[in-house]
Amino acid sequence: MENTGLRKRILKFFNRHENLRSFGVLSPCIFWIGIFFLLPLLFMATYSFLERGLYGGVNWLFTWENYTRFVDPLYLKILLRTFRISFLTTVILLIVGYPMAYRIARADKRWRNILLFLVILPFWTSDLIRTYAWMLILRDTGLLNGLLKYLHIIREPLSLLYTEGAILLGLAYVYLPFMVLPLYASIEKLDTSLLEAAEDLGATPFWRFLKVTVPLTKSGILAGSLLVFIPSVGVFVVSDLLGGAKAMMIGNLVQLQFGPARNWPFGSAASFILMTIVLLAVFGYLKFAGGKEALEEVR
Amino acid sequence: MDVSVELKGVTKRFDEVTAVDNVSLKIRRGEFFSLLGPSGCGKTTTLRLVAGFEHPSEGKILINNADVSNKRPYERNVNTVFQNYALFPHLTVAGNIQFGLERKRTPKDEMLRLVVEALDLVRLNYMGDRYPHQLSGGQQQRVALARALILRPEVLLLDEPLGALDLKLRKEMQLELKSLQEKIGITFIYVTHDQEEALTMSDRIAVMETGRLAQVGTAEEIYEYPKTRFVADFIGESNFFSGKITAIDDNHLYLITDGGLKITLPADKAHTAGQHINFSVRPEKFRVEPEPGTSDWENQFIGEIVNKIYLGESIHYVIALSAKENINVFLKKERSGPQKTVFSIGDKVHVSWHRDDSVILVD
Repeated sequence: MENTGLRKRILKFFNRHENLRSFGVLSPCIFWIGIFFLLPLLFMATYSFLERGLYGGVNWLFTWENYTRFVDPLYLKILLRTFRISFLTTVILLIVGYPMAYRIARADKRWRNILLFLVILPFWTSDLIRTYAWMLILRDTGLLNGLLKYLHIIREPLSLLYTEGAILLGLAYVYLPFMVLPLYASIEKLDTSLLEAAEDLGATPFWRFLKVTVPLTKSGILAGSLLVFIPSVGVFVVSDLLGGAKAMMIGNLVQLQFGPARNWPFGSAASFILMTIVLLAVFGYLKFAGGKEALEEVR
Repeated sequence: MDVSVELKGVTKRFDEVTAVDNVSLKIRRGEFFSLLGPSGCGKTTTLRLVAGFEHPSEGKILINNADVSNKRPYERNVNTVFQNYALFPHLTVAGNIQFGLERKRTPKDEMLRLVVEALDLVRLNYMGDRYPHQLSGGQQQRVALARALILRPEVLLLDEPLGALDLKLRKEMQLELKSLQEKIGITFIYVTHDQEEALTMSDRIAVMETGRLAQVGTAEEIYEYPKTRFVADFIGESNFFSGKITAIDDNHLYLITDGGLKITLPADKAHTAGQHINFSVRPEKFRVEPEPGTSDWENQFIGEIVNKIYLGESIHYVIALSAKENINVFLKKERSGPQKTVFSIGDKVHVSWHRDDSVILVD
C-alpha cells in the first residue's frame, strides 16, 4: 500500500502525543461545528458591528448603533413577549407532560412502546403543516368556531387566531414530545420501591411526589424544560402563522431583518442579544434549580 | 394474649394466581416472628399486606386490634425495612432517617436529638452527612433500620434485610438485630428463605408453602416436630420412611416399612392398625456402632455404609438399611485420632435410634 508511510507517521504522531488522540476521534465533529456553526457565528458577530448598506449588504464601517437601537420600547416589548411565551410554554408543558410521561412510564410494557410511538408520531409530518392545521381550526371560520356556533354556544366567532394564546397552543403542541421524552426517561428509571418506602414512612401521595418523585426526576425536568424553552425563544414559524403581526416574537424580528428589511447588521445584533440572554437565563436556571451537579453535567 | 398483628382468613389473588391463601395468624406484642419459606410461597406478599402495599382480596388484617385492611401504608403505624434498603439517593443518611419525622412536623431540635439517638442505636455515629452511595451494604442496612425504627412503629416489617450481605456480616447482623429487637421491644415480622436465619433469631416461625401456612411454632417445635413432609424437608435435613401400622398399644406404635424394617414409634391415638403412614427421622438422631449391644433403643438394624462425605465438624454417611431404604446420618467426630465413629465405605454397622425420634407426618 502506498499510504503505509503516511499511516505510520500518523500513528507515530499519536503515540508520541497521547493527549491529542481524542482530537483524532473528534476531528469530524470539530470540522462540522467549525464550518457550520462557528464560522457563521463569526460572520454575524462581525456584521452586527457594521453599518447597513443602502440596498442590503453592509458598509465596512464600525458602529454600536445596531445594539443601541435595540434599546427601544418597541423591541424590548417583543423581547419580553418572547420570554413570557417561552416561559409559559415550558410551564404548560411541564404540567401537561409530567402526568403523561408518568402514565406512560408506569404503563404495561406492551402499551408503553405504543404510547411512546404515539408521542413521536407527529414528527412524521413537518411542523409547518401541523401549524397550518391549527390555523384551520382556530380561524374565525374555522372548525372550532364552527362547532361552537353549531352547538349554539356562541353567536359571533371568537377571535382565536393571531393571539398570544394561539402561539402558546401551537408551541405547546409542537414541543410536547421534547418535554415528554426526557421526563419519560427519568421517570422510567425511578425505583418504585423508593415510592413505597416514602409511603411506608408516612408520606401522603402529594408529599411523596414533592419529596421523592420530583427530586429524583429532576434531570428529566431540567432537560425537558431546556429542550422546550430554548427552541421556543428562537421560534418564528409558529409565531408567524398563529401570532401574525399582533404578537410578534423575536424570531420573527430577526427573520424580518434578514429577509424583507434587508438589515443584516441589525438582525445579527438582535440574534446576539437573544443568545446572550438565553445563555444567562439557562445558566441561572441550572444554578437555581439544579444545584452543583446539574451545572457540572452541563459543563 | 397481647396481640399486635392479627390476620383473619387473609387471601390475596393477583389475576389468576393466589399468592396468599386463607392465612390466619396472631402475632404477639414484642415478638420476633419469622415468615419462612421458599421463593414464591407468599411470605413477601403476606408482609406487603401487613405493610399496606397490597390489600387483601378476602379476610381482615388487624393491627393493635384495629381493622386496617383497607388503610394505605401512610395510615398504618407500621414501618418496613426493604430488601434492597430503598434508601433515598438524593438525601443524606440524616435526611433519610428524619424523612418520616419531617412529615410529622417534629420540632427541629427534637428531630436532631432523635436522629442522633437513632444513629447511635445502629452504631452509625457521625455518619449523618454521608450519602447512601458512600456507605457499605451493611451500613446502608443499618440506615434503613434506623429510618424505620425512629418512627416507633407498632410493628417493624423486615423483608429479607440481610439477603444482600456476605455470610460473615450476615451472621453478625443476625445477632445484632436480635439483641436490638429485645432492647427496644417492638414486634418484628421477618421474612426470610434462610431456615438457619429463622431458627437463630425468631421467637416463633411460620413456615409457608404455596400461599398457605404449613406450620407455626417455636424454632424447636418446628425442627423437632415437623407436621408435614414439606416442613421436615425445608427445615434442616430428614430421612423419610413410609410403612403400614401393624399394632398399637398404650405407649408404642408398631410398623413395618415398605422396605421390610420393623419399627417402633411413639403411640399416636389418631392412627389405627393397617393404616399407611409417613414418618421422618433427623440425620443426627442415629447411633452408629461397629458392634451391637451398647444401645438399648428400640429400633436396631444392621446396615452397610454406601457413601461418606467429610463435612469438617461432622461426617455425613449414607447407610443402606434395606434394599429400598438408604438413610443419611450425620456423626460428630467426638475424639481425635483413630476411633470407632469413623467408618469406611462397605463397612457393616449397627444403626439404632430411639422411638421418640421418629416423627409421624400428616402427609
